[in-house]
Amino acid sequence: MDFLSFLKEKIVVFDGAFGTMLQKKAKHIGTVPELLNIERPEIIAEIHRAYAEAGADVITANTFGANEKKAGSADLSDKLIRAAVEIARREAKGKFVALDIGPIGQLLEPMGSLTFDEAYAIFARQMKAGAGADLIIIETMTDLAELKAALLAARETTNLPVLCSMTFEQNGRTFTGCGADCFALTASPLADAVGVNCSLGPKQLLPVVQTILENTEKPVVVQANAGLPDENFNYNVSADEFADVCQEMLRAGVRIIGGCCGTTPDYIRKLRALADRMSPAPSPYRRRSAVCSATKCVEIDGVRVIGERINPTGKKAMKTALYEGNYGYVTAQALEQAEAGADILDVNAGLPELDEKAVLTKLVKHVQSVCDLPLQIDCGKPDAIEAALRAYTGKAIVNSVNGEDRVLDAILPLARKYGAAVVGLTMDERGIPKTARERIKIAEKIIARAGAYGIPEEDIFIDCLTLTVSAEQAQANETLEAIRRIKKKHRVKTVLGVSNISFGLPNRQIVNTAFLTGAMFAGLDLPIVNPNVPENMQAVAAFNALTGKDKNCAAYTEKYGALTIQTSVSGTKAEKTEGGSGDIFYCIQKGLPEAADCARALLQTVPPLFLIDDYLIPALNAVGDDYERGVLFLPQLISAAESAKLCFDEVKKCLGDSSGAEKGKIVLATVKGDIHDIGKNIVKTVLENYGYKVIDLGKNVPPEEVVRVCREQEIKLCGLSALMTTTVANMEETIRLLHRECPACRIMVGGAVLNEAYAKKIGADWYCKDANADVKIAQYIFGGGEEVPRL
Amino acid sequence: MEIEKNELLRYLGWKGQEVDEALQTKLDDAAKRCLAIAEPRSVVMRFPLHGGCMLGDTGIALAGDDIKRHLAGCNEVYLLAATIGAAAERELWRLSAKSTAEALLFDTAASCAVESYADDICEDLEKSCGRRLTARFSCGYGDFPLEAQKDLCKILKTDTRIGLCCDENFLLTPRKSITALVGITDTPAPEKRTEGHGCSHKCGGCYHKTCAFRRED
Repeated sequence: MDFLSFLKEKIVVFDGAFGTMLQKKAKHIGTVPELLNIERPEIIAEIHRAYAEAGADVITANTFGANEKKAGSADLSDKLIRAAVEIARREAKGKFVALDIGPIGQLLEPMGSLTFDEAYAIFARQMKAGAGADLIIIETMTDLAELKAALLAARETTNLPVLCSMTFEQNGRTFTGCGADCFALTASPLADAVGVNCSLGPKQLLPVVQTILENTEKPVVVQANAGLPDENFNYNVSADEFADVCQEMLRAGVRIIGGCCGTTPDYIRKLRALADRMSPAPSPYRRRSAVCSATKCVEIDGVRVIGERINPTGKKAMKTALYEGNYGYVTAQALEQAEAGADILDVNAGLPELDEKAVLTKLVKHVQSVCDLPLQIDCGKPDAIEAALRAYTGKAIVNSVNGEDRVLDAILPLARKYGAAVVGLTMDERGIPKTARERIKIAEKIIARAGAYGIPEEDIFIDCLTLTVSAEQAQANETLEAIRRIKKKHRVKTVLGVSNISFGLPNRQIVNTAFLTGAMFAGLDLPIVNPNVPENMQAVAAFNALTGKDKNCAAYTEKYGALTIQTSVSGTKAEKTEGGSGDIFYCIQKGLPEAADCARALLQTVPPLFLIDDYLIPALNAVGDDYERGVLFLPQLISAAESAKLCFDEVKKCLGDSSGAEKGKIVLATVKGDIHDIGKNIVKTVLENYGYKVIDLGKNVPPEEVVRVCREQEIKLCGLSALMTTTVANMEETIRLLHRECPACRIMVGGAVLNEAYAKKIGADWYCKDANADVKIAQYIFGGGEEVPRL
Repeated sequence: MEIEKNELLRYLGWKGQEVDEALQTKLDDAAKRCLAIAEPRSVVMRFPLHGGCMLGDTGIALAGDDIKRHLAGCNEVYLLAATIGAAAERELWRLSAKSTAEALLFDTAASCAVESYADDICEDLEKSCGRRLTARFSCGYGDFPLEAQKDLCKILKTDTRIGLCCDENFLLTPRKSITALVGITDTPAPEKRTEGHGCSHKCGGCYHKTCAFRRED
């Protein structure tokens, strides 16, 4: 019988701890215990035999840490895995053999420098080497992105059943902050069983196990530790106590049970006895509409706002940012929407001449590195959607499919594979139907097709489409009617872009607010709006109060109780009060936000470019000088720069087009392998506030990427940073490539381990001892400054 | 674990400049936020030290003269790893996207926090073992290579025990983390541990000439 059929009928018993047993049998284990698979196979065999005799249904091969990073080479990893599976197979005596996959031991981006693709490749090689096993268990994972890489590698390189488990702490989260619900939602579509191992003793794990059970339709696996370790890593829960709690878990619906650290064949014998006298209990799982990031789960059991701002269509600044690769702008937009109260963020990179697949993937990576909101991937190209779904850690929404067969059959399989929810637009090759009845017909076609692909109604979000009321007045009501009827008949959720309704009308927000409110009462769950417009969020808060979702109007009162609402119809944030007093020099020097008020007042009489040259730059120069002389220290320099930034923003608003205010383009990057970027970020802030356009490529940037951007944008000045001795080599390589490919580009470098001599040795043009040094160099290169001699 | 005001200022390069109320509030906020978000975790193991440099029966020899000098006379050591966790790291990314000034203060507060946490651990170890401990000594101090970080993490299994990893370039992730060796000795520590930065500011003998924390005196 194959493993999955066995699992369908029976409670499955795994074996117990391997390391614990190994320590008892071998004195010198070293840092790669899997070497024993070759050096002392008899010890490994003996442990397997003991667990098989104790009654385990599955024998776990000794491959947990046998990846190439821990073993030291891919060859050795391959050899250790093959040997381990062979030994396990021999001792299993007809029982199942599991290939054991543990964490790589290095953190993935953005926490570490390992890329998703590198992790995937490492796992894929392990899967191939271990393909002789009957199943795969990926365990002790703490990073959801790493787990996803392992799951995809397992799915795409073998046909074996795949079980996976993560390690949770008392707070219900993994070390990297992944919640048990987020784990279950994300991993279930890719795995045959999900669960928890290691972590804590069985009793402490009960709440985590319950959360996982409630969030997955897949069988749940639990392999707890024998309690909590003391300082010598001894464990304190006896085999009987262990079995008692495991019995409770099995009653709650757990289907696969075993042991982790501290457990021995005695523990497994007790579990065997339990499994023999119990039959599988039903799972408490109930399907619900929910999406998540690695750290935040958003259940759609009421109105949830999707922020629409990360979309270049009709937004000039976003368009420019995407063309230039300025992801700092994008992440700021993400944070602003999160702070305004968005629950989910839409990300869109649909621009002609843009490599949508590459850019959308980068968007996803950058946004999820600064913001924990789940994402909606807004794209129509299957290859770009798939790349973005791979890069996304969590359960995403794909926006969108429509009623066309061609579209449904290209995109639904992707949503299914990666477990994403999907937006269905109620239109097809014939366009948008005029009546609610016809739109519902298309919606039902989408629902049926999604069902055929295995996507449940709870994961389908129907968009009944907003048409412009000034052009087709009858349509507003048809949209609302369609929402009403689809919600009555199906368990789907509804989504709607709202603001199109008012196109061509004056004071659009008045109409937008009314339509949004009407749509929510009709049954709209997911309005796609600009959350920075207060009226949109006010409408949602009011709706929740009026419909009793907001019990006792508590959230409403908390949010608006102390606020004087200024209704605006311009669609921008309420203006700050005018008349911030004082002198712009003083405000900048002190780092006060009132600097912006001063700038605004000055702009009444002073031309914008004069404000920059006669006020902002001199003020910043004075601050820079004070910093150099030690009158000010770093936080004061940065605060001053940020105040000046507010002034620049006023100037840009005034100019409409910022190009006239820009003094030159500078590329900044923290080199490959280095993730310490605070210094680079400081330099960026200071340079930006002198009016330079900074293209910030981020941290851990490959040399080729720096060169590509410098070449394509004809960059004259590039700044590189590295903190550690070990990453300066990558800085040197980047400089070498830049000199070769972009001879006109000058290079300045900085970082804790560098000095003038070292900078010269690796070929840099300038060494920057602090943030102010960069400005002097920029002024020299782009005009307005004295010569700064090259190294 | 605490974030001491003077430490925070010193890390920021403060040399007696006037700190006005606004900046003081920002410093306090950063420290408070950091302590609220930090999830301090550590793992410690005790090893006999053979021949002045062999770490128990791990097969690992400590490289460089400085660590040997530091542990001279110790026949046992504690190997420790400490981190304030991934949540602080994520907060740092968020702040970096929002405001460099806030990111700088939080980053610095986090550095202070992990140093203070490691100091606490050493203090507790000293109490519980009833013997004297040397100052902490970390990879990258003197000629003790950064490359040793990888083995230390492996021995302590920091990845699965506290979520701390060492990457290809021997950097610790999450960043606000420390690995260190502490000698156990019967004779009073020859160099008393000073407050603050874990290298004890024996700056004169250190080759990191551009270290931001280097003391001129």
